Amino acid sequence: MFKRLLSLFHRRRFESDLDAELRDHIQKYSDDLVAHGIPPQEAELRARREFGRVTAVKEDVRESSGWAWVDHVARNFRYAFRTLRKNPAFSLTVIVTLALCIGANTAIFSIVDAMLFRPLPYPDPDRLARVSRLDRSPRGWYEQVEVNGRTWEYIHGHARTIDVAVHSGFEGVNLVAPAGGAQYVRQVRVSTGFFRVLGVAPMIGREIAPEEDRDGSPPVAVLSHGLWTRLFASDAEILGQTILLRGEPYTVIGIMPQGFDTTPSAELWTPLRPSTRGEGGGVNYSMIARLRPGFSAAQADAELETLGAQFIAANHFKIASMRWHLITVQRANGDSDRGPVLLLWAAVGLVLLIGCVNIAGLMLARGGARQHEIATRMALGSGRGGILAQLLSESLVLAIIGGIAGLVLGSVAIDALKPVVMATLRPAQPITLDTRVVIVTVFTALLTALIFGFYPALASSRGDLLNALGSSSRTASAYRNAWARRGLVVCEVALGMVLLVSAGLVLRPLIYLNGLNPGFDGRHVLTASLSLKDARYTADGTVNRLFDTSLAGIRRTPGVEAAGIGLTLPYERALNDGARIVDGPNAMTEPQITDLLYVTQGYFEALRFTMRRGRMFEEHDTVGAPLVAIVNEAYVRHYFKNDDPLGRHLSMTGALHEIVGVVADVQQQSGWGNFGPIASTPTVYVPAAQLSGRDLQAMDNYYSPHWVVRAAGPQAEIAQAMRAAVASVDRQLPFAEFRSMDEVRSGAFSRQLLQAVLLGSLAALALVLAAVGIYGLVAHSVMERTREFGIRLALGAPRWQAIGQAARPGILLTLIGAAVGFFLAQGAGRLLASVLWGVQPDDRTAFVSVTALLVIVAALASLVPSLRIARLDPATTLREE
Amino acid sequence: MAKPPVEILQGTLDMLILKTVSLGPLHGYGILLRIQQISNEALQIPQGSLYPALYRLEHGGFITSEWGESENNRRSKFYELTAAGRKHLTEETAYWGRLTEAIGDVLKARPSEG
Repeated sequence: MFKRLLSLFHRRRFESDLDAELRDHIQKYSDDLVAHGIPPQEAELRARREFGRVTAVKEDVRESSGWAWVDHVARNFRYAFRTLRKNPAFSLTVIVTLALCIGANTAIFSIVDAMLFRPLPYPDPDRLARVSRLDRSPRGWYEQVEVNGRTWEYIHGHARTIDVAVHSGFEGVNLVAPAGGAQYVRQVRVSTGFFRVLGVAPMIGREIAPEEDRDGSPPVAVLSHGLWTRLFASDAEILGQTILLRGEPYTVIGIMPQGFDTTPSAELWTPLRPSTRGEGGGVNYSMIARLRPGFSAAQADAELETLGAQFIAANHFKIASMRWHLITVQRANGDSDRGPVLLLWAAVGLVLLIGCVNIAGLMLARGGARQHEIATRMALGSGRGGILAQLLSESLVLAIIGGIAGLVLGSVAIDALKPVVMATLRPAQPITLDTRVVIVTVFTALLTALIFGFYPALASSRGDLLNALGSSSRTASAYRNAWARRGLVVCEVALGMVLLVSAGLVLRPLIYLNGLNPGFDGRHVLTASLSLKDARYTADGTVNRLFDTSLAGIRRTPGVEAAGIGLTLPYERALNDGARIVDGPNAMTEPQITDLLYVTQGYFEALRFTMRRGRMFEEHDTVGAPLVAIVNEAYVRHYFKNDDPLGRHLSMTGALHEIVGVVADVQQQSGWGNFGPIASTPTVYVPAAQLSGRDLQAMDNYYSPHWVVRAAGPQAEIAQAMRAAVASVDRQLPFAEFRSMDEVRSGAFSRQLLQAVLLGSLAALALVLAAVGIYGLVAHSVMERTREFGIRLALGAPRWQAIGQAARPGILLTLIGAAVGFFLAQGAGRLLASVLWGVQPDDRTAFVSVTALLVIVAALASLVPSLRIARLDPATTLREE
Repeated sequence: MAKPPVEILQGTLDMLILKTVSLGPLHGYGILLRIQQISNEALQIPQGSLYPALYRLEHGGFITSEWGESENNRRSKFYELTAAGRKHLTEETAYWGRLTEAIGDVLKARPSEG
């Protein structure tokens, strides 16, 4: 093949050489003739005549020197181009269909690839994995991709086949650079050996040493190239110097190379100091592993399984079945998004299939119309293989043009989707139109040519010579084609139905979530959070002094109506903790899980929560006063049932809080129970003013508190006032990001919205394609039967009857397709169940509305071309042909 | 006076070309002349059919070509036998010998007296 390509390159030389050689030959002969006494002019003529036709000789030469295939292919393609240019409507329809389908596939594949398949940007990525834990539950195996400290210590201490390291999740923290200015940066804590396992050494400096990964050793930090450039002006002198991180001095020991990042994305890495207590007591670590040289993944899995059994035996755990094993890093990172992303991929594949079916239908119709041409060519000696090659060449030309257009369209779509996808799905790697995506697109385009081109080409080249040449009207094969086309339309409608139902099902939870009563008024509320994971905010009173002083400053700003601080916001995740009701009929023996957050005065007022019973937190609820708490209605429903909660006591973190009020529910993302993505979950509110420094620090380590300010006036001015108010207490506390509460709310739906928008667009595309398919079928049959309809009209048949007759097949085929699709869609609904909330997978509304939509569109697509009959003049029709 | 021309058999042209160029490098027209000359004008090769055969042999690696200077300072393409061509020629010659001998035997056969 390579030789052939090379020879293609030399083709021009070849032609000119051949030309020169033949000219030389004729000249020599002519010279000889002159030498034999023939006059020069006559000699030349005779030499030429006797040599024969130069072009024919050249053709023979090419044939015998391995050039024949180039000419065949070139001829086929030239002819294909000519044929396609002569049918611009057909060609354009096919190319637009392909461009849309291939473009959609390119865009979605770039997301799928970034999330699931693209190798990680580290050396030998296929030897890198995550250690995960499988537990058997009654509903099958449950995958726990995070590990606790004991698991880490055991595997780290015993595994011989893998080199392991652990890291924490992403944390937003405050950094004060020597040059000044506090910055909010992304930090990930990692164990020693983390960079070694990834296979990337620091560009300068070194990675975290084992002794630095133990409690009590002086803190160190490794910086990303980006942070180093941005804050330290790429100064290598920074190595060995200290930076102020989380209020403590850290020594910089290394700078990572440009482009290096981790999942989750970070700007600096500090020692994790893994432990079996505190954070390490729960499953809060991610364990990465690299296969040691000479060991396979299977060997590592086998060792992990043995170690797991030993671990259970050594600790006398009563775990029925637990297994450690390796999974790919992409799989571990995108575990929850895997389903939705694969669903999108399947959907876009279906659209491509529908597109191909559509084009195959058009090709069949055209094959019918070209029956005469093809038969003529066969009669003139073209073999069936030749005709087949010719027809496939046309498909290939269409696929190539459509593929290029699709690539352009896909690249536009990727650019448009990129910000939204990166923000909501957070793939481990950026979505781009890289070589991998292009290769898949090219492959897709070629595949489509085969799918939509092969059957029609086969069907058309099967032509029955005598029949086709003998009669100009319907032939047996045209009849066969008509049946094939009807089958294709049924397929198309059925596949379209599957997509539409899926989109309907995915849209319903969005409508449901959107329709939930927020429970508060978020208009004109600006919010921002800042990290208090800070060594300077551990002592009793420090946090509350910051809260009180900054709030006082903000409240003095003109236009500010109310301001408060809460650990978390409605529509976002809250802290999960245990609380125990100690008195009354519902007293508990063990703490039960609940959402818990501290709030300052002004939080409920700024967000306009509704008080149902009792009172809000007041000035006198401070340290020393009786401890109080407020619960929401969901908590009352869930845990107090019919009992009156006011005056009852909750035991939390070793202290008793009296319940003084009940607030209306707001929507939150729950991290527990079976509430769905967003719901009113049982929640306990406690006043920040009554918490000790230790309690506050424990909560601030998980979440960054949010300032909420209700104010009239431009957001920029309010934000400035908020910054100034905090800076008046502490210049080294930067706000992370300012958002309106409306943004917070839409952020909570962004995943569902993205999914619904993408799936909805694909379904709309499928609907349009199905409509085009039906329209094409009916229009073609109306055209074929013009004469028949003319005769009917001439014989006095009412026009509406003829129109109905023409439109009927389209509607009938739609109904059959819809019936088939109905069953397929039920299967799809079951597959979708994992991403649905607030809707049953066999939701009636979705099915009925989709079927109705499909039938209406099909009826229109069938009626519009049939209306031609209304304008038919029987007299002219009969005179034709 | 030349003998009456003979149509050459299918497939024998290649062998004749190989034989001709085995005697020394020649251009296309030269090959044609040489064959006619050696066969005493008995073998008439249609000029147009020479070149496809030459290119086929070159494509097969039996001969190579090079541009050089011919009489009257004209640039011509000269063909030369390769090692593979020499081997091929030997085989073909042997085969041709066996074939003609066998055919000759058949044609010379008389009614058997048995």
